[in-house]
Amino acid sequence: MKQVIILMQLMFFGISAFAQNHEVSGNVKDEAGNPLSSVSIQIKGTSLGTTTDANGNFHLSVPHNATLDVSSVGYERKDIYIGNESQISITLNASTKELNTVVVTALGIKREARELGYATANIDSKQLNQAKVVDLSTGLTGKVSGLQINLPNNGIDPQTRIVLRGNRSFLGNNQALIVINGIPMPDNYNLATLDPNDVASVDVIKGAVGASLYGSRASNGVLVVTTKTGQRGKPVISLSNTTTFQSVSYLPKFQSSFTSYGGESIGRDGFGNIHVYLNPDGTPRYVNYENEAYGPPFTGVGKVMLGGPVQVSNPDGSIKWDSLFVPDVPAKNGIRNFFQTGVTNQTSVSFSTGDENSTFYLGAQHVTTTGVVPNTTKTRDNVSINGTKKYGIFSAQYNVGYTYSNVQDVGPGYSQQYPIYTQVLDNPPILNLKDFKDYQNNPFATPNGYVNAYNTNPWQEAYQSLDKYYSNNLLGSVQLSLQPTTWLNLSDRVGLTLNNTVEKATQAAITFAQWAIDDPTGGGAWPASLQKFNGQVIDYTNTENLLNNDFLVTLDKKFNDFSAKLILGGSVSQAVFNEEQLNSTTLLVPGFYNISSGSGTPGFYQNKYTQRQYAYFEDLTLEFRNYLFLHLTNRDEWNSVLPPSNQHYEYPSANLSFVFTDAISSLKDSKVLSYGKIFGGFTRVANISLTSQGRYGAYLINNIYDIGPATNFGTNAFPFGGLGGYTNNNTSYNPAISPERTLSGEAGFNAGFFNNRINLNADYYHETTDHQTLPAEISHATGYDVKILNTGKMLNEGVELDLKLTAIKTPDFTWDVGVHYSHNKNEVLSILPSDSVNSVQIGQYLNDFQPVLDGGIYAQVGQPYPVIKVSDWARDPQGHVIVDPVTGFPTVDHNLKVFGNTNPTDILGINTSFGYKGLALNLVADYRGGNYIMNSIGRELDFVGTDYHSVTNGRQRIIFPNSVIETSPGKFIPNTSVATYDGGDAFWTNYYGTGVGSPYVTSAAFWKLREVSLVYQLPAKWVQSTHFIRSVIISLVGHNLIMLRPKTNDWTDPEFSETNGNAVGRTSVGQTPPTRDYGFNVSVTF
Amino acid sequence: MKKQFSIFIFIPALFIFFSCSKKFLDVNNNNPNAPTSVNYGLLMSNDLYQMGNANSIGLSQFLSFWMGYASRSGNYIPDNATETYQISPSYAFSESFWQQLYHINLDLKQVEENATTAKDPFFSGAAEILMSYNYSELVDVYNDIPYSQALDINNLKPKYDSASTVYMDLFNQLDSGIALIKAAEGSNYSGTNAADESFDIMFSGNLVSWIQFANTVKLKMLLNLSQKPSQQSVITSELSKITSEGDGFLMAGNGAMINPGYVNSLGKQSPFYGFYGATPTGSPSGSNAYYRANKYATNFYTNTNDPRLTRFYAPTSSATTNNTDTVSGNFQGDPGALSNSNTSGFGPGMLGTATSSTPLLPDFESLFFQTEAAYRGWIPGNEKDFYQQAITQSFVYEGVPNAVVAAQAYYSQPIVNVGWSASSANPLQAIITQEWAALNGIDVLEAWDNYRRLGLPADLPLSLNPHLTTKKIPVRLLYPQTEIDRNPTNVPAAGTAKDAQFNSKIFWMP
Repeated sequence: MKQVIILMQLMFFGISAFAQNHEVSGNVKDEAGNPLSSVSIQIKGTSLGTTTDANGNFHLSVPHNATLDVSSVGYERKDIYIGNESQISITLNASTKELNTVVVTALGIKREARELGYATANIDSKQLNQAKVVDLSTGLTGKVSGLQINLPNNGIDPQTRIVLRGNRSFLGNNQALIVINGIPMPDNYNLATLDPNDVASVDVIKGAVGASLYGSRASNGVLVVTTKTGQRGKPVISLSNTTTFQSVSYLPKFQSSFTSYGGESIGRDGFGNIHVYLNPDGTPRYVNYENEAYGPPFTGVGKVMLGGPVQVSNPDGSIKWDSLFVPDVPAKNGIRNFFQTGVTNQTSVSFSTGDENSTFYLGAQHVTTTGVVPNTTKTRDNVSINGTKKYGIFSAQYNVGYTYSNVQDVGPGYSQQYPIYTQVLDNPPILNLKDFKDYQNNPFATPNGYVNAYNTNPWQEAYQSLDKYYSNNLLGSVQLSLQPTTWLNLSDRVGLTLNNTVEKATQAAITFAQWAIDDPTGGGAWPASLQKFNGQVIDYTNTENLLNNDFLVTLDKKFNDFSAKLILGGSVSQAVFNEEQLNSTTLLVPGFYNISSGSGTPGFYQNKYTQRQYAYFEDLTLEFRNYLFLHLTNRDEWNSVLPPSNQHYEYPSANLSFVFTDAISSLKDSKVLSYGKIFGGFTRVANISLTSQGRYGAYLINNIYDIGPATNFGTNAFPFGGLGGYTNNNTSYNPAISPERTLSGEAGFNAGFFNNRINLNADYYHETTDHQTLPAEISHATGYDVKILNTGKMLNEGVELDLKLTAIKTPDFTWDVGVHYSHNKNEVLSILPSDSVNSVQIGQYLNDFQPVLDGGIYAQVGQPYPVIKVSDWARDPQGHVIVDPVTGFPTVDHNLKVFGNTNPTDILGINTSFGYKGLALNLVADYRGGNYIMNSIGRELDFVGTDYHSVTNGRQRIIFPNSVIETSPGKFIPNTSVATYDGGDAFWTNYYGTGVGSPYVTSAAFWKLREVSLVYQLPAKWVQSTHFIRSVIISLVGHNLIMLRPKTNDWTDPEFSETNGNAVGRTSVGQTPPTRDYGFNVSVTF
Repeated sequence: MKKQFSIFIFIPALFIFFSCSKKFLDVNNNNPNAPTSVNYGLLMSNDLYQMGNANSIGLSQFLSFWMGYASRSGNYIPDNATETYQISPSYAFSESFWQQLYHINLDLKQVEENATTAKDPFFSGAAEILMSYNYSELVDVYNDIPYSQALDINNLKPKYDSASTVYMDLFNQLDSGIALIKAAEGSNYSGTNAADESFDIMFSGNLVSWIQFANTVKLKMLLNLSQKPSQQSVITSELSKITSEGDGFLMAGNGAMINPGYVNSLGKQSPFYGFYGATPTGSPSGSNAYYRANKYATNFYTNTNDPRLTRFYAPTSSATTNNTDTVSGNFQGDPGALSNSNTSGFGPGMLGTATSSTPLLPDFESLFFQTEAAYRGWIPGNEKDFYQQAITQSFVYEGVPNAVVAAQAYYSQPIVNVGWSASSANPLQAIITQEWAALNGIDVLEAWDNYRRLGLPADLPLSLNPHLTTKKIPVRLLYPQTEIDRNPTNVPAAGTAKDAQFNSKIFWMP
């Protein structure tokens, strides 16, 4: 219903005949009859006008036969002709056209989509919450082009990585800035802190052109989160409960043909018996205590001993030796049996109300999760309160959000401080983990007698090595605004965030029995190697406090066909971060985890970082006839972390938007083209990119000295009594450092077809970031390892396409489809100028719990960013692998080679919804491709011989495929005769599992079915007969139900990564396996 | 309305106040987390501590395998690079040694500069001597190295200087260091900026000991030159300078030993003990299980009735083993290696305790240098006396009970390479063999120097790893991969080429 209803009442006759002007009183309402405040009422062709008050009323002196231009953000604009009426009532219709959607842009400024000269996207609460996600960021995945959200891990409390339009900075932060109710959050803010039910919408500002008003932190784009406010009318209470179950979906592909053996040839056990582990023909015999699986084939008949002999007590107290015998067959689900079904339960309640002048919203949520790894739990409690109040020309809004989360995760194992997944994976196929759950009483499961001599029992680790932490997050903001006249608005917003985390990681002490220390297997099991293990504790706490104040003056004036809006403002912010850690590996009282019970000096560190910043900005929008918009902004910013001479820098931007369907009259009423807009803009922004070197990049101007060497576990050698010792830090800082500079431009179009049944948005962006802040790795002969330089340049360009299609729309049935595609091309143009150094390592493979691997994740000139560089087999010029003429083993070329980029070049998200009466089915699927992943799990599994690949040749000696022998330097002949010296452990453990990286690099492409939800809304007549229930919704939800990967990657989810930093591209045993979730929800509204 | 206006005028006013105040941004001037300048004494104490670490642990992690002291047990999979000598530029031990020594020298260079400013010749001189010591080790491992352009942050790609040039300049640096130490004699350097002698955790400010140390380092370098006739004139002139200087060498009871006050606490243990021995609470350290006795060494000590055998190596750990050898080892790389519980770890003499001083150049090492120098006629004195005194001091160092008597019984045996007269056919072989026997766990680089210079001990076994293709113990390390990556135009190809570890000689090698 788009007709304007004008109620006219005649004035006393005669007055209008004598007056040039007459007084008009009016009232503006929305379609539901709620009064609309702050509606602009402008007399066309003049600069005269007013705005409505909180009750939607206005008074204005108008000339005879004037036309009023009535406009309000989010509503369709109207022209109202005034003859001589003195009393009018106006109803504004909410915008239905895409172009009139309200977008919350930089600094909380609301604009209509038609005005914007840059790309944005809006995700509303319904889309976010359709699958009842616990973490808001997972609810965004696949729904916006150009937005890449990575879940680096599947543990109990993962942190996502959120990147818009690829990476710009080699080593700086590339993650999008998160803004909640106008308040910028700290770097690495975890969106999982929020209750997604409290979120009204997320506006995505994809590039720097739209974000430049935010200054140095906005070059990576912005996610603007707006939380819910109360709605006018009767109080609404919503209750919702969701229960989901999580189970392991994929494990690596294991071999189940060969049993345990680890390369032993002869050994003597603790009883003095000599064991020969090889048959006379050199083939291995079964070794009962091994973690490696390079033994003989399973016989399938009879039983074999598993693990060593253990000492147990008879009922009479005497001691006897006992042994465990198991069938000589591979265990069924021996690894998988460790994992359990996780359960997540979310209960949410909200209360919303409001009257003409005020609104109130209260939301609360309690979430409990148990993970797939035993003994891992997480709880989260949220309370969020929002209120608004209007009083005359004054209005106020406040938001308070509080979150408490409490996590219990599993720490490393006692043996080599390996993560839990290593201890689970490094078990030979004969071993079934479900049999060793009782690590306290089962003599073959205790640390003394665990059947796997070179691993810790993961059950023991899960219950005795704990990482517990809780955090308090408080976010408060107050916004006050004043509208003294129609053309002037003043507002001030103060925001405070206070985050505090307290962590305690403990590892239980182990006292090994003497019989176990004496090593009954002779294999050098952990009890013999360690003899005892002291209790350990790490206490860590941090507090971060951000204060932010933005002040805005908005001047808005119309002149005939033109209007101008000028926003002037300033911003002040301060961030303070404090952290402290204490640790001890030598606790003296078992079970008592307090640093005071540790012997010697505890390890410790303490850091404090401060950053202050202020800025002035100007933002001018010039409008012509509501179809042409020019938008110019500038920000002058000063930041304390930079050297005084470089503390100031500017962020100019300009963009243009042209709604050609409104401008060209022949297009106005086109049946095909509903609307069309083209836009474009550019900006130059700066990015303080020292954050990789320290929080906020603070204190990185002058060289520092470190306390004499950190020996282990954070413990410094110095001081010795009163004797101190210091050394130069390995980094040489740069007293002339300046920010990175990004030049960014974008252009695109939005169009709707067939009465908006089809909406298409497309844009292209091009960005170069130069002057990068690079901790350049320099010759150690300088005495340093790294020098901070401003150097290097990177290019990013790409296209984004968003298609929304209402395929079917009948009163009973609807079918909507959304397609979001982005292609990103990224290239490192230079690193160090006039220099042969053309690559920089941005992430090192963690060697502490892996067979050592050369290489890592690099930025390399001429390549996309970032790339995997690892060692490969030595090859002849034709690419054949060069084998050793004696051993037949391939030789390793330690010069690192590039094996592909790790960031996807193509991302496709598909959303579709089917609606039939009260029933709706929503699906979200996405594809990522064009990138590669280093699967370190494969190396780990080849090292221990459980990978399926390691049996492809039946563990037989082979002539390495396509190999050559070097007969003299540079001369190669095909290898037709030299078989590998060994096809078992010597080949797989020593060459694959420790030597070379390239066989484990695979395509990282995947398809995932991210979200499925089947929603049923009970018919209104049923529920309303209760007179107090408004609606009941029941839904079934599922996440990550299906993942499709290339055959070459049968290890794990390629979205996983060792880090949520820039150096993505390596999966490892530091993660746990991929999971799928499924469950149900009931929501009731009163 | 007017009242409300005033609030909003107040806020921007406040804002302008903040912005205009320069002080608002002055929050990052002082780093609260780490100092930006420290007294050079604090650098010196850490440098000495680090040199103790580098010398006792650093290269020993692979050289103790190559030099026949240690082996891997059957419980571990082989470290291919170490066991087949197929080391690459990314060989981790090479990377860490190169980085560590240059970094120590950066600190030492600042000690020298700041002490000079503070008119503190003692610390300037000590820093020069220590830098020379470190540079000489870099040459002995890599041959040509960045030297004249090193340690300059404004030159990110320092050129390499020829090894012989570096050696020549190091002699001058040692002379300069000695001169500065002498200048400190009687001088009052306790100005406000001066450092305290307690930072000298090697000689506690004893000037003569520093000079003797410098002369001994010179002697060590001169002995490395012994097989090069072209260096004869250098040897002659340096020896005459040592003679004219007059303080001589480190003598019995006065080794260069470092001790900052080690205590049995995490991170503060004597580094060798902490690395190869035990944790503060008595659990074996991670490397204790990995580094086991080498059968070549246990055979040598057993066959020569050497009581140091059970000081260098511990009894086998398994109480119930029927292994009749109290001390047992494997040959390195043996595919049939015995398991951990049947082999010996490092023993109480070699490990010392958590508070033992770390040897940089112990007295017996200096005495062995003097033995060889006397044998070559370079210095006055009886080589036999030096020889026996060196063995005695090794016995003392290793904590052999009644060391002097036990040593006498040992070197009196008529066994070739043990008794002096029994070894008359080849006294040099006896000196170097005994030096090898004494340097176990002390200074494996010196043992490697001797091997590369003289080929002694001649029967040092090769790894038994079946994949061994080049049957030769490497003579150098390849330049680190980091140097190839970061200083590519300067790094000499001779030190990075395939098989360079077997073919590319240190300049003083024959």
